[in-house]
Amino acid sequence: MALCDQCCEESPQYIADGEPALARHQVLRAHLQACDRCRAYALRLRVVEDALRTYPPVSPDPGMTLLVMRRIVAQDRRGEEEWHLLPWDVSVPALALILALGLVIVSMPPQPSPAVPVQELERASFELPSVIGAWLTPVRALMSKDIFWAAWSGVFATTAGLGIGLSLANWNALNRQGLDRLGDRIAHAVTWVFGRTRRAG
Amino acid sequence: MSDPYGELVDRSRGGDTAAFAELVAETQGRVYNLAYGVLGNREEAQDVSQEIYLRVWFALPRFRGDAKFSTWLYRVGINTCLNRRRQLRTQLGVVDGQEVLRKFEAPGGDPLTATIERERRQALWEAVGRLPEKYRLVIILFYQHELTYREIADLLSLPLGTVKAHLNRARQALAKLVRLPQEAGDGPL
Repeated sequence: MALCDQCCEESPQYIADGEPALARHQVLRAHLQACDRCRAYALRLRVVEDALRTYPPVSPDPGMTLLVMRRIVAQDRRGEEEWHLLPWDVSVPALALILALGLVIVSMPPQPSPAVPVQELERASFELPSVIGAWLTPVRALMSKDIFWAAWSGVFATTAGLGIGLSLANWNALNRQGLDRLGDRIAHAVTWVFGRTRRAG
Repeated sequence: MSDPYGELVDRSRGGDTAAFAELVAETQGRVYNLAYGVLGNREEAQDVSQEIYLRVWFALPRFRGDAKFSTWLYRVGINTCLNRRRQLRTQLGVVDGQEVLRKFEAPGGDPLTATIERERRQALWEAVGRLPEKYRLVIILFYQHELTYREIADLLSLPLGTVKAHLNRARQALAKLVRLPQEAGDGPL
């Protein structure tokens, strides 16, 4: 029985290698002579091997090159438009997330302590244009209170969570293709910029 | 490393569409057969082959020639085909393999015409299409594309021993499906 198990393990490679007459296969060959069951198994393996080695090739459509090149030209022509091709259920949550992150960064106090006086916050190290600074004044006044940060974190987490959840729930092949194209274009742009920089250097 | 497609690849990378068209014409048979082997459907294979070349065209600027172009093309092809297969899995559904395998009998004493022989081979390859993905891929790359164990190992990022083991497991699985003439009455397979 142990020999049968060994035969079962070794036969596929032995037959695939063309049943070489090597000394290390002597036990296997002797067992195949003696055991009907293993001989039948080896015969099946030979049938499989023969069939696999005579793969019936299939031919592509003769016009495939033309179809590929047409698609490439069409994609190239769309060019910049591809940046707008992300479906709304990806682009809207992504924009919401970016906006929320931006607001958090802009409204974050230079020091995380909520006890910092409002006047000091107004002299924060980042310098914003006066219009935006004025617009942010009430926000900054609120920032000294813990409740502001709790509420803001809640709004941020809910928006991002809902957006990402909605996006994933509606995920489909188009989204994937859009992201793939976007990734390719970004990589292409980075490579181009890198090449230019290197040449300029 | 000399690459038979090196010149065409360089020109294509520079945006030469004529060179890329030549590259497609040279390699489309292998790409299509790979796609057909993985997907088992001519229309899907045709469609995914085009998708593969689109990806290759847009990714060419990132191809630095560390590996042969054909190896890179296979890698892009395999990833694209597997992604498509995952999408299609639910649509294709699970086909009962018995109808196909019933036809797949080992050559025996009966007179075999070329047509029957061809059908048998086709039946076996259809059975290959229902093997687990890891086995199916190595079978396709080894027998259909005649890559070496080492090339398959590099392509699939697997140890050499694992490639051989996968091939042997696949052969064993296929051998179990073969019905020899003297076993005709034993069961459906």
